[in-house]
Amino acid sequence: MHQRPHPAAAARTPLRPKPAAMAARHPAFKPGHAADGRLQPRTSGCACGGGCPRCAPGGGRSLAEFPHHAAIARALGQTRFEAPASIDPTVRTLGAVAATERGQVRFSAWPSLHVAAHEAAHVLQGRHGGRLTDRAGAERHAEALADRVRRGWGAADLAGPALVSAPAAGPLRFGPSLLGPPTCTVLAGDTLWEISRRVYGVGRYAEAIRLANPGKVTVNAEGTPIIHTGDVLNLPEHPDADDPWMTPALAPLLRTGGAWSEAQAVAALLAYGAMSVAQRQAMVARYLPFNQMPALLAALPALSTQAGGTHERTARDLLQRIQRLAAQADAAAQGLANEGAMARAQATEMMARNRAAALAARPASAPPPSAADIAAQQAAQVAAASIAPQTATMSPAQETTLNATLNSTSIPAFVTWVAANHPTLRLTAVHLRADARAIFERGIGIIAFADGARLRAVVGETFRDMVAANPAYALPTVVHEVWGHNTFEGRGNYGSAGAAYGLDLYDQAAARMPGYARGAAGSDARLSEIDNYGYQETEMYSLMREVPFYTPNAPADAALDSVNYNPGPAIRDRMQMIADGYEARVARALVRGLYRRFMADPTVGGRAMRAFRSAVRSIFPARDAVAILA
Amino acid sequence: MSTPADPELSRALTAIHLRAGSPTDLRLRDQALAWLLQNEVRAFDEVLARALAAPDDAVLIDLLGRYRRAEATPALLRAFDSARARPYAAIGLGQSPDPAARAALERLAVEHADPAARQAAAEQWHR
Repeated sequence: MHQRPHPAAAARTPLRPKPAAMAARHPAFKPGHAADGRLQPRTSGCACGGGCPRCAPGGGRSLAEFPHHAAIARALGQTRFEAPASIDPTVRTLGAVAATERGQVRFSAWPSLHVAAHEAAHVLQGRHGGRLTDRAGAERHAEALADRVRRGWGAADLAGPALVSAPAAGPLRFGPSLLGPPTCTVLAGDTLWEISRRVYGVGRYAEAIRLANPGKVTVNAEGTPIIHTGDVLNLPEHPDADDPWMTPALAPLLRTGGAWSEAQAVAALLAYGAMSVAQRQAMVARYLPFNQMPALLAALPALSTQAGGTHERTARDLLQRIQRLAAQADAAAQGLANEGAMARAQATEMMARNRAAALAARPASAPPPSAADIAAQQAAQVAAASIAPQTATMSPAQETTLNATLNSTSIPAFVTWVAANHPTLRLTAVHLRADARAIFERGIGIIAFADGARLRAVVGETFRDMVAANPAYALPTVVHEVWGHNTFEGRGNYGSAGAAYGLDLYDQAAARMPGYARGAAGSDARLSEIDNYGYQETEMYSLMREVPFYTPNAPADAALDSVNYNPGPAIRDRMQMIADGYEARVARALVRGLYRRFMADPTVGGRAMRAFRSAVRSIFPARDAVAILA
Repeated sequence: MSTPADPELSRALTAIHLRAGSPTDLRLRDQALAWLLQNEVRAFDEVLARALAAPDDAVLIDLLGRYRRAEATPALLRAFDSARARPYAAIGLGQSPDPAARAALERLAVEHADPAARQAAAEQWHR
C-alpha cells in the first residue's frame, strides 16, 4: 500500500547517501564503471545488445522501472514494486553510490540487488509516515531488508511490523535487532505455512520455523501447530543446512510421532552423531518439546545403546543433552534463567550451610566464624570416613576352594540360567571373573564389583551362595556392575566433566565460593566431592537397571534377605540425597532432567520408572512432583 | 526391614548393606558406618531390634558388635547359629565388655554341635 509521504519526511535531506566505502562491498559499483562521470555503453558480454539500463548511455536518466523490481516485489509479497528511480552519476559527488530523496532514488550506476533493495527500504520508510528521528535505526532496517532480498527470502514483515509509526506526526520507529537472528512477528490470521512463504518465498519451511520455536509454537491434539498473534518467532537462517533430521522421512516422526522403523532410527542417530557439538545441542533443543526422541531410541536394535553396544556413545550423548536441557528448562520455570543462575543458587545454598555449620562448631561466646572457617566447612561436608577393617579373615585354602567352586560350578550355572531366561542380555562367562579374596576384602555381603573399565563383574562367596539358592537372586547386581555405571557415564568416566550433571553444577557452584580450592584429581578431597555430588545419578540409573531383574527371596532363602532386596527403596534414598544436597530449585531441576532422560532411555523399563515416580512423590512436595513428572 | 521414624538413620542402614562393591560404594558405605557409630545414641536401639529380627544379616551383626555393648549379647548369641553371620557374631562376642559374652564363647567353643562353630568361638575366646 502506497501512502502519501508525510510532509516532514518529504522535506528531509537525502536519507542515505551511500558512502563510497560501501560501494566497495558491491562489485557493480567498482570505480571504472563510470570512470568519466558518465555511464558508458557496455554491451560487451550483455545479452541486451545495448538497450538495458546498464548498457544505455546517459546521466540523470529516469528509469522506466525500479531496478530489480520483480525480486524486491516478490520479497515484499507484492505483485509490483514501483518508485521513481534514475541513473545519475553525480550522486558520486555526495560520496555515495545511491541516494533517496522525497521518495525518489538516484543511483550512480546500475545497482546490485542489495543496493536496490536497500534504497527500496528507504522508499518504504518515507511512505510509512512519521518523522524520522532514528537514522541509525533506518539504516539497520534498510540493511536487514536488503540482506533478506539478496538471499531470496521474504521481507514482508520488515515492510510492516518492523516499521512502527505513531499516528501522523509521531516518530518513525524501527523494530529492534534487525541485524540479529532473523525473527518474524505473527500477524492476525497467520499460519506457519504463510509465514514460511512470506519469509522464504516457499511454504515448506513451516516445519523448520516450528522447530525453531519450541516454547512458542505448540501442537494441538490433531497435530496442528498453534501460533499466537503478536508472538515474535525465531527464523532459522539456514533451515535445511544444519539439521539432518529435517527430512520428509524423519521430521514428521520427530514432530508428531509414528512408527519408527529400525532403519529410520539408526539413520537418525547416525546423522545426529555426525554433527558438531553445537549442532547436536541445537537439534536436541529443537526437538525435545515434541517428546518423540524416546521413540527414536526405542526403535534402535535392542540393547545397542548400553555399554558395549553399537550406539552406546551417540545414544549417551543424546540422553545427556536431553537430561541437561530438561533440567535447565525446569530451572528456568522456577526463575533460574540459565545454568549460571543454577550454579549461583547452589553456591548461595552451600555457603549458608557452611556458615551455619561453622557457627554451630564454635562456642556461643566466640567471635563469628571467619571466611576461612566457613570455607573449611565445605571440605568437612564431603569428608571421607575411615573405618577400621573387619577382623574376619580368609585363609588361602578357603580362597582356593571358593574360586574353584565359582569357576567350575557357580559361573557356568549362572550363565546357563541367564541364557535360558534372559537371552537378550547375551551374558556369557566373559562377563564374570572369580576372585574370592578381592570380594572378601571389600566387605560383608558384596556380590560383585565392576572389573575396572571392562564389561565384567568380579564375583565371590556371596555370589556362590546366591546362585546355589537361585541364580535370579544374583542377576540384578551383575547387571548393575556390568551395564549400569558403564552405560550411564561410559567406562572409566566416573567423576569426569560431563559424566554427571549434578557434579558439573556443584563444581560451578563451588568455584563461586570464597576460599574454595578444588582438590587435586585423585586426592581424597576430590574423590569425596565426586562421591557426594557425582554418584547419585549413576547409582540411581544402575539401581533402575536392576529393577526388572529383581526376584524376591523364597521363604526358604530368608537367610539371603540382607543381600537380595528390592532396589526400589535404594532408588528413593539416592534421590533423597539429591534433594538434600542441592538448593531446592536446583534439586527439582536435576530430578526433572533425570526423569526426562530415563523416560527416553530404552534400557530403563516401566517397572523402574514406576519406582522412580514413587520416589519423586514421596520426597518432593506435591506441586514439585507434578512438575517433575509432567 | 522396618522403617524407623529417623530417615537419616534409615538411609545409613540401607547404605551399609552393599551388594555392589565399586570403590565409591565402599567409600559411601564407610561414611554411613562411621555415622552409625558416631550416632550410637540414635542408632543402637534400632540396630539391636533389626539384628534380633534378622540374625542372618551379617552386616547388622558386624555393626552391632562394634558398639561393644552388653545389651547386644543376646542378639549376637542368636546370630552365632547363622552360618552367614557367625564370624561377625563371634567377633562381637569376643570384643564385648559383657562377662556373659565371654562365658558364652567359652561354652560354645566346647559344646556347640558344629565343629566350625566351635572353632570360630574358640578363636575369638583366645584373642
